[in-house]
Amino acid sequence: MKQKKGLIIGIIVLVVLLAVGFFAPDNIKNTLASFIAQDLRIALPLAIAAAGLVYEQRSGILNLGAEGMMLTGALFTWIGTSLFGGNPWLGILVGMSSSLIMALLFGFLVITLRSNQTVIGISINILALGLTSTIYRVVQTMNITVNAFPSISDVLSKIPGIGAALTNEVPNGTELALTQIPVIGNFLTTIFSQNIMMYIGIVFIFFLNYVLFKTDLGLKVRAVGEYPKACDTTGINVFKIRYGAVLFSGLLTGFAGGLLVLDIKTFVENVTAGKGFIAVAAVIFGKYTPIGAFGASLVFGGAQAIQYLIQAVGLKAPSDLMNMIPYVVTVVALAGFIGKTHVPAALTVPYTKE
Amino acid sequence: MAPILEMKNIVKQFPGVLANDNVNLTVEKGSIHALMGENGAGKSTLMNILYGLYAPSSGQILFNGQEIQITSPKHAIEHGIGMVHQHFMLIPALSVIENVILGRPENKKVLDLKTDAEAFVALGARYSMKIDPYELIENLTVGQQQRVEILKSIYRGAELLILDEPTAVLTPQEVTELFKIMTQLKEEGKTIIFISHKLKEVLTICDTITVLRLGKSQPSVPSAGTTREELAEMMVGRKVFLNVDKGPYNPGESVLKMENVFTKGIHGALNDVSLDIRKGEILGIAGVDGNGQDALIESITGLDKVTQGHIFIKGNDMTNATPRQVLEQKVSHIPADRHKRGMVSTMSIKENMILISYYKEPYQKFGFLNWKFIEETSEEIVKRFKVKTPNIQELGGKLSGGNQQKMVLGRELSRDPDLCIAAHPVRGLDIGATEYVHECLVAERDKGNAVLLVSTELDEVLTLADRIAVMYEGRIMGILEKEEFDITRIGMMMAGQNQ
Ligand SMILES: Nc1ncnc2c1ncn2[C@@H]1O[C@H](COP(=O)(O)OP(=O)(O)OP(=O)(O)O)[C@@H](O)[C@H]1O
Ligand SMILES: [Mg+2]
Repeated sequence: MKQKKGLIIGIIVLVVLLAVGFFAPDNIKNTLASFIAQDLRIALPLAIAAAGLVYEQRSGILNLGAEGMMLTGALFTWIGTSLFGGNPWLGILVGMSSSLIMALLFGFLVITLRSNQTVIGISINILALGLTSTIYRVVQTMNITVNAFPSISDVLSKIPGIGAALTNEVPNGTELALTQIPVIGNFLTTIFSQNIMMYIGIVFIFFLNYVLFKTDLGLKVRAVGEYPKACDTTGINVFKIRYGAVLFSGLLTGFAGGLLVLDIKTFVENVTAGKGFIAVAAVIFGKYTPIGAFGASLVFGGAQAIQYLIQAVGLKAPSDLMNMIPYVVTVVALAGFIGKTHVPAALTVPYTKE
Repeated sequence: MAPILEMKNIVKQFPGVLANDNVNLTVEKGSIHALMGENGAGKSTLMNILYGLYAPSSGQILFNGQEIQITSPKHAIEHGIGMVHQHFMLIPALSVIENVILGRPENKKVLDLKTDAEAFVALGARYSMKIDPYELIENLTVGQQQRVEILKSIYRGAELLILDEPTAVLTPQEVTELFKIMTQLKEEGKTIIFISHKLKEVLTICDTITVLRLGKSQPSVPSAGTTREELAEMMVGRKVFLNVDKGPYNPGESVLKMENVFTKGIHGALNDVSLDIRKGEILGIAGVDGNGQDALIESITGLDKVTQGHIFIKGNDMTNATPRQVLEQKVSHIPADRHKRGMVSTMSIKENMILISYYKEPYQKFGFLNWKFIEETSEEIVKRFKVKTPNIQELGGKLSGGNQQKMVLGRELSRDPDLCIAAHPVRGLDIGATEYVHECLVAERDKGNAVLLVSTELDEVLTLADRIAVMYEGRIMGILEKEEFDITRIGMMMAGQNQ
């Protein structure tokens, strides 16, 4: 029932987009297409981090340290990429390992030692901010080159046999063959010209949603966050599930941080600028489901992308005010939503056996 | 017949409490075996050890003649031991079938809920139970949840089923249903360990009885040929009076008056309820659970909004007063759901004792709590109401079920109320404590205070009450005077029929 509602909203949005693509004048079409492309790019790191946090919160652990883990992942992705000659794949693995270590520390404190999750989460952020700033100052003189992930058209063009049919050669690379479709070709091309990670990421989010609701593991995760004692009586190892969720989420937040760096191709201090917290908000706004959190991330991403839209239509507004938009949208969305969704009953409650 | 289970010299030491002290328990295969004993005697602890939730300090467990080590519930389930806990182990936000298969080792990686649901429904049908496998647990009644718990254990292959106080929260009809199921399980060769404080139930359904007293096991006795009085004496170690002595009935002026009260209700609505409780009387509310009893109490105590009508306490209009205003009229409230409304599990006993009075002197002065006074009064209440605990620093949630109830009761009755509202006050209490609570309620009445007693146990209402109001679907079907007390008539009114 709940998922049906999301599906209906999704379909309506698609229909409206297609209608614009077919019937709107060119300038509106182009603006909208680049807005959507921008929205997706901003939303992806949020959605990936939020998907991990969904698992974590479903298992009963509130990780307010997501911001710090994301920041750590960002810095080490940047360093890692340069260590491996600009290779984004290996770089992001380094980033993920760094946030995994942070998550291990977090998990040990809140699961094994049963410390207060809020306090530890906030501490992780302070730790990460200090740590990354310090390390950054040491390494910033390094000559770091960051390569982006290959674009979807580059990847498709290399597929033997069908590669040529799906893509076109253009002077400085490839483009999707979508351009050849009449009327909406350019509209679609702008939207779909993303790097390969966008496609992998979205498929992964849907996969995580499936795992959470259709598999044995997912059921265990959901149950542990509701009533750990009852899980214990059915033979589930509560600690194992919670550690698993914390570490997995740690990997994904680091990954999300890495995506930020690979997108702007450099690291700056506090590059995350609250995105970890927005991801936590997306979990709630998305009703504790990976797909819901993805939808929420698109809303938050859209709030940021709208700045470019405003510039594009030539509206003059103070940039400080415009920078506020995503945060204001987050606050408003949460204020309207908090308390209206079912929060995992054992969220933030440590588990003791006897 | 060979014993299916032998527990030998089981010892369990909690910090400061020796919960099981060399307990021996032998259970024959295919029998229903009762485990009885006072609150805190160690029944739940012993069963939690058998189910692998607690590790025994020492002792031996033989199952089907072989010694086994049970270090987690997983082992217990593998050996065919199932347990329905005193407080249910179901996850409200998940569906029935999700709860049933949760944590099963034989689950496929990708769940096949449909197949399991079909098999589960078929199993339910075998015991004449109809359950929608896709319904969320939170939408089920207590009785339905319990049936899910029992079926869940059987579905997972239990040969020995532990039922920890299964009847404490059931209506009489549901108890009858439960006994039917238990009998059928027994006929199929399954073994049941049944914990209950109700002598009548135990003597009807069980074959053998083992009594725990102060953590020690008494020699088992067959239930055939044992009387209620003998059983009571075994548990408490002295003669227990199963009847209550009351002083003469001299009702005074009105303490609580309800005039045509309507509510919309979170837990069912009230529909034109008028009542009058006078000084020196106990008004019993009889009725099947869920027929507006909760709504009645919520409207009086200020927990629910009255949409129409008036409520007067000692002549003051208290319609829609706040809970504190009501309590300050010297009203005490023993709630039906102690975990939700009576106590805070994660607070100590002494903190629980001041939940209602903390803001008053001498409990506090200038905003600082007067711990010395609080501790003294708490000690006194704990002693007077025989709450079994190592000290008053203990967390409320660590007490045995019955002792939690005594803690709440002690707090409420020691506030010297003019009106005492008691909802199922002896739920989960042993007979010794039940006797004591009944004496306390009668003492309140004899002192000239008013008592509103809500209970689904008709026996309890019949013995204690001076007048009985029968509720059905949020209405008062009628109020009977002592000489009109008649079980069949009350039964018909409870079913909504009035001649
Ligand atoms: N986890 C625990 N930690 C400390 N003490 C405990 C714990 N569980 C039980 N106890 C203590 O052990 C004793 C036995 O408790 P148990 O729950 O076994 O009693 P019971 O016979 O089931 O009583 P009831 O009829 O009230 O349910 C009690 O004094 C209780 O306070
Ligand atoms: Mg018990």
